[in-house]
Formats: sequence, structure tokens, C-alpha cells
Amino acid sequence: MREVIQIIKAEIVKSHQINFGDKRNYFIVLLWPILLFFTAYYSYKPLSFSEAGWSIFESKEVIIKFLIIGYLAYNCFFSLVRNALFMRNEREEGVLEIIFLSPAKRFALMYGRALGTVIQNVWMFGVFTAFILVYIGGFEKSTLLFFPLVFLLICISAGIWGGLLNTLFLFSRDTLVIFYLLDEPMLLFSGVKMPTAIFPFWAKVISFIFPITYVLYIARGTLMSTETLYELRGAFVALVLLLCIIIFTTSQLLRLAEAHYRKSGNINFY
Amino acid sequence: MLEAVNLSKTYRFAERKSFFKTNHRDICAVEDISLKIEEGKIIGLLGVNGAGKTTTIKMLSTLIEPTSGQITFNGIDCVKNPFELKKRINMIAGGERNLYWRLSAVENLEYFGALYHIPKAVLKERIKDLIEMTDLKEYEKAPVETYSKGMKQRLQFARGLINDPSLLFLDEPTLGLDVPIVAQMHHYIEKIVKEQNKGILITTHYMAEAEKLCDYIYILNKGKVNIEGTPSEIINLSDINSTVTITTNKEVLQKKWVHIETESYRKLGVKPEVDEQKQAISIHIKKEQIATFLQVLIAYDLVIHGVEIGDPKLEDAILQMSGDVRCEK
Repeated sequence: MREVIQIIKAEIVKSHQINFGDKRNYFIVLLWPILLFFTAYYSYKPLSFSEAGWSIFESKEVIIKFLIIGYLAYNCFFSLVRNALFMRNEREEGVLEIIFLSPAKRFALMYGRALGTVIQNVWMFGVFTAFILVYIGGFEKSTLLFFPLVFLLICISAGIWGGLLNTLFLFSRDTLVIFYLLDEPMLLFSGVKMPTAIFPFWAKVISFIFPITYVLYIARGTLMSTETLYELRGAFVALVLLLCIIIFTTSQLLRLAEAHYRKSGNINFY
Repeated sequence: MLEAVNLSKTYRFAERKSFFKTNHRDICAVEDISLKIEEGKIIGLLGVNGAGKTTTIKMLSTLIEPTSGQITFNGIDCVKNPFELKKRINMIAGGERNLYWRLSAVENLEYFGALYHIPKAVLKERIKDLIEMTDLKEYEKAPVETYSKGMKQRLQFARGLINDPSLLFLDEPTLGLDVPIVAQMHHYIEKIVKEQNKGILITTHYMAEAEKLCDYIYILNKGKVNIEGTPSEIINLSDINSTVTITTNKEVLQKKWVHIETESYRKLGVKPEVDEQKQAISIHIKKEQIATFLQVLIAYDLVIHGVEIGDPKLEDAILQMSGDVRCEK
């Protein structure tokens, strides 16, 4: 276990050293999701949701809360897609080969990278989100009590999701297809900008693939509807099951990826 | 000791025939190679581009699985248990790759050290020693992207030693480096073999480098071991002669040249050449014939001002043998 922690820590530190050598990057990771959030908010603001049948958006405050929670989770999950893309550079620079030459636990490497990214990319936006929630709703008990737990849940779920993405990106350097598959579809189907309840059946089925869908349901349930944890138990069970499936799939894919490049000899191309 | 027996590797390549059709072709990169790497020895793996050097080094270092054959390290089957070998080896490649350029030397070494589960205190001490050894103290906190090519290669050397490996694989470690940096690299390699008893497998295109460093050499051609032996054994396998050059006195040379030429040809079967401007005689003969040639000169009372013996080079021997059908293992 000590070895696993050492690798995860090394990955987090390395990721931070590479991505935040320029301190302006701290503000970029805050600015980008804020811009996305305001773009979505001002797109919705002039619309009359009661006429469209979206009864959930009953007030301006509700829209802000809905979107800010959505973008917090999306920022977290999407930063991992970008991070996994970074693996392509490491592959071509020959660093990935040197990493796989070592006896480091592969599982720890994949999750360490994911956690490093999550922690660095979302803490500032997390603080911003907490500030917005308090600004709108005041120091509500639900916000103070549940926001740290929801934030932790988002980070853990995103970290597990990121481990899978990192592993998928081990298979090939031609991974842009995964990037396109996971960018807009995740934003659309997971309910970041709109409630999944309004989706047709086929879209709801797609939304179940993404763990972020369940995370958002739980996050909004606790922070907006003040549903009890007991009432959210179904979503919790589904999320835990999905995360277990993702962890299992990651471990199998990791084994296959290493066997694949040991056979094909193509962990890097130069 | 690492021992490879009958290693072969076949790759499958995809060849695009049309937009919808792809053909697959098998190419044998390495065929039936057997070799040993002992601790405290430097083993050379030579050959032209595409001879199979990199595939061999990657199989031995667990990065590629052989199609057939065995690799054992002190009795452990490394094909089945690659992680056992991974703990005890490391690899250094030539060029400027295999490092994080945005990190400093210390940050790179801390990261790669953590991958080998080295305790923090031990790692700190080792990084300090390696930074000193590779002369990077002054720049240890600067990003690698600001380093010269030689500094990057020195850092690669430190990275390769971070886990204190028993065996080190060097894949063209001096590629594209200036002469002083090459000398420095050679110094490091010889130092770690002598002082730390590490085993080294080095691939190189530079024959002089192989001749200087290697205790034993395998020469690959089209994926097979063509020639193997110590550098001197390989030189002796060839017909390359030593060049003996004698400087003397012009007047003496003019008087006695005809006799020396005749007598040399009679005894050695080779005629010497004369350079009157340089006042020198030179002859291309086997090493064991040098004494006979000197006896001829002494017999004619030639005044000898200087003797220069040019030993045959490994490069000449390999060049000769690579075009020689008689070259066999």
C-alpha cells in the first residue's frame, strides 16, 4: 500500500510541476469553467421555461444552482479527458516507455495521474461554486453540510473515470476519436446543462453510461432539492455499481494494453 | 547474470492496400539470438540500422515479449516474470528523449525514483550523489528544456542509475554527442562497471567506442548474430594487418633500400614502401611478423629514429568481414 501511495503522490506532484510551472495557469483553470457557466446561464436567461414545460427551472437562482453544480462536475470529468490526451506526448517523447520499464504498479500510475489532474483543475472552481451557492442561498445547512461531501464524491468518481480514460489512451496514440466521443456527448447526455428527465428514452439510456449523470443527480438532489440520503439511495447504489464496473474494466484493459504493446512493440513511435 | 537463449521476435505489420483493405505481413526482426550479460562486464551489440539491436535490447529489458526463446536472470524466467527483472535493470537511450523537459533534473529524478519504490531518505541521498557524479549541481533546479544536449544525456545517465540497477542497457548512448561529452560518458560507463560491478549491454554504431569499452561483442546482421568474441578475437578473425612505420636517415636509406626491399619480400612475402621525403619505410604485416621485419632492418645496420605500429582496428576488421562470405559465428 505504501508503494501505491508513493506512486500516486509522485504522479500528483509531477502533474502539478508540469502543468503549473506558469502560475497564470491557476487562473486559466478557474476562468475557463466560469466562462462556460456564464455562457450557459445567459443562453437560458431570456427563455421562458414554464412554457417549455421545464418546471424545474422555476427561478433565476435555481438555474444558477443547477448550472454551477453541472459545470463543477463537468469541469472535473472533462479535465481528465484532456489529461489522458497528454499521454500521447509522453508516448512520443519516450517517457511512457521508461515508466513502463519500471516495476511501478500500473493501477497506481493510472489513478495517480487522474487524481492529480482532478485536484489541480477543480479546487479553484470548487471554491467559486461554494461561493456562488452561499451567495444565492445563504449559509443553508444543506450547502454547508453536503457541499464538501458532494465535492469529494465528484473528485473520487472523476478519478475512477480518469483511470479508465488513461488506460484507453494507452492502446493507441490515435486517440482523438475518444476525445470527440467523450467531450460533447458527455456534456449533452449527462445533464450538465439540462435535466435528464426531459430526455427521450434513448437519450436517457446513453446518459446512464456516464458516471457523471449519477453524480449530478446526487449532487443536485442534496444541494438543491434537499432530498435525504435515503431518498437518493438508488442513485448511490447505481453509481457505486458503475464505478466498480469501471474499476474492473480498467484493470482488465490495463493488463491487455501492456500485453498488447509487449507483443507489438509500439509503446512509442520514433 | 542475464542469459538469453534462442531469442526470436516477429512483428506483424499492417500494409494499407486501399481505403478498405489492409494486408498484414510478418517480419522477423530477430532470429535465434543467444547472449550473456555478466555483472562487471560491458557487452557490445553492434550492427547496421535494422540489424535487430533495438529489438534485442527491448526484449532483454522486458519492454517487448519475444516470440520464442528464453531470458533468465540469475535463474528467474524473465519472460514469465518480467517484473522481477524490472526491479534490477534500467535503460538509457541516446538523444534527448525519455525525460520531462518542463521539470528540473532533481524533479525528474524524484519522479523516476518513486517509480522504483525507493525510500525517501535513500532517494534524496542517491539523487545528490548522481547529480554530483554527472556534474549537474549548478543546474539541478533548472528546467531540462534549458539544458544542452550533453547535459540532457548526463541527466539520462543519472536517471538510468536511479534504482541502482544490476544491469544497465545503453541504446546508442553517445548518439550525436561532441567528443568531450562522449569521453565523459565513457568515463561514467567504465566507472560504474569497475566501482559498482554493474553489467552493461551497449548498442552503438561507433566501432571505436565498442573497441574501447566492450569486453565482449556480438555483431548482428539481419537479425542474427554473425560474429561474436572479444574485440581482439574479432580483429584476429580478420585478415587485417598492422602497419609498421620506421623513420630513419635519408643517406642510409638510399644506400640500403634495395637490399631491405628484397630481403623483406624474401622473408615476409611483402614489399615495404618508402617515403623519401619523410625518410620513412612502412609495411603492412601481421603482428607476429613485426619482429622478423625489424631483424631485417638491424641486419642491414639501418639507423632507426622511430618506430610506429598501427594496430588493426575493430572497424576495419568488421568492414572486411561484413563483405566476406566466410564470416561465420
